[in-house]
Amino acid sequence: MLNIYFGNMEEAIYDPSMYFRNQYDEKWITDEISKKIIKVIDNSKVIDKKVIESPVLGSITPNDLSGGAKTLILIAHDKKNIFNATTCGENCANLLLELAKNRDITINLRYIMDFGKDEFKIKVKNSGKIVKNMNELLVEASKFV
Amino acid sequence: MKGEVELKIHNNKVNYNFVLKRNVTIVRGESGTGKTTLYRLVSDYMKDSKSSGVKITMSSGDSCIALNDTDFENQIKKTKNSVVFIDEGFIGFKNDDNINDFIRKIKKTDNYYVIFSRESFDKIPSSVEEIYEIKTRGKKHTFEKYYKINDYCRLIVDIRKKDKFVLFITEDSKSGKQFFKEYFKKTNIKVDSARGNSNIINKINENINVELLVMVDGAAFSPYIDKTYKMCKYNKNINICLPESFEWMILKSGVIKNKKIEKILKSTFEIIDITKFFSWEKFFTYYLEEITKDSKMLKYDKKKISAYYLKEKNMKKIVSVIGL
Repeated sequence: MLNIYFGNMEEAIYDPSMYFRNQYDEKWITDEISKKIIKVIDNSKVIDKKVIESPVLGSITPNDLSGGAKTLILIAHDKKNIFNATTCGENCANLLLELAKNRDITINLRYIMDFGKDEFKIKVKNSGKIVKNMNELLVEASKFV
Repeated sequence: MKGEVELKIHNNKVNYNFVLKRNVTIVRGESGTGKTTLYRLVSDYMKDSKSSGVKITMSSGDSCIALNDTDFENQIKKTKNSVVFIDEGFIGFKNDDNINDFIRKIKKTDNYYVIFSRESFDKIPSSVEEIYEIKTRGKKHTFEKYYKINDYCRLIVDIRKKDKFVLFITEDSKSGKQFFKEYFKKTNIKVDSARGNSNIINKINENINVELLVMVDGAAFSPYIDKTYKMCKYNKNINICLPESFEWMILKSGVIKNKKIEKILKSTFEIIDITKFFSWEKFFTYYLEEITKDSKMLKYDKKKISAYYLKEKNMKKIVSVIGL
């Protein structure tokens, strides 16, 4: 299930892009979930562990991916830390729910991400309340952010 | 800085072209649209101007600055009449103490700030009109309005719903509330105040099932627009109206005869001194007080609205500004 702590969270990694630059593992880039993240979020294709083909920027390195893509890759692979996913735009919502399908994931958000019209299951960590749709999430999360 | 600033920033792969209209512009939107790429272009240009391979042209102003985490205090001190870019993950936005400190430093500066962030900063009361996303067509990147205002929130009231509203909420607890209480006196619409923009969302939550009309100062509502917009998106009974401010409505309505007003409202961005007025709604209050201070009848007092503005014909003119 996806767990979200809304607002400032001291123990969260505030700047995931910086953390990614210093901590990412090259092996992560070529696995299926990273390839999917990079395709869906940045519309780019993984060539190998060091090179990604962007339709706008040409050949780039993993460090040149968008903040959202880097944060999602960290969430998928680094199970020790909680990341500030405010760097993730609303096009990351479905992938976040997908990552949280088979394991508990906790993220920090400083805005209320739009998870769409379909039903979902998200725990608002600040209160412990589980919400099932955007209306419930908006009411609960707006108390904290 | 004053007035509109057109910026063209490009290298051999990407080409950004956009216009800034106020001292604070917020850029958010989906991941992967090119916010950090734009920030990096400005950062590269700072290192070695034209030799960086980045070209920047500005219609006015001295320079473009990419604010960095380690030296931003010095950068702000040294920077005047410039456009300052702030990327996601900026250390000055990490926690409340950092944010308060940062805001103290940028208030009273004459720079324009472009902030890449989805986070809402209640200490930066900027306009809902100046929130953008980056759209890409080939190599070209432009700024487009992020909130499609007439989809879920409106600059004027949705007239089709005029007779359905049960509760009117204004953020103003003084003159604005007094005015609308009088205006809606003969109807079934109740009037309540949220006592400030920051409490609007709580008032909406308290009345989530009621046919609501909420009026806020669009000129300073950017910190709250994201969640309010989404509330409207998922609850068709919530209607938001976003004039610049209540004082702007009075100025715009024509109830004060003064030839200068139209010009002031048309070209506020060219006139406003951003070192004195961080957001436009403060300027409109100041200007309304200033041009009416010598008239006993028209004198505008934010604490208590004068009888002149509550005359039926004047009230009708004022509310017509928002389509009521």
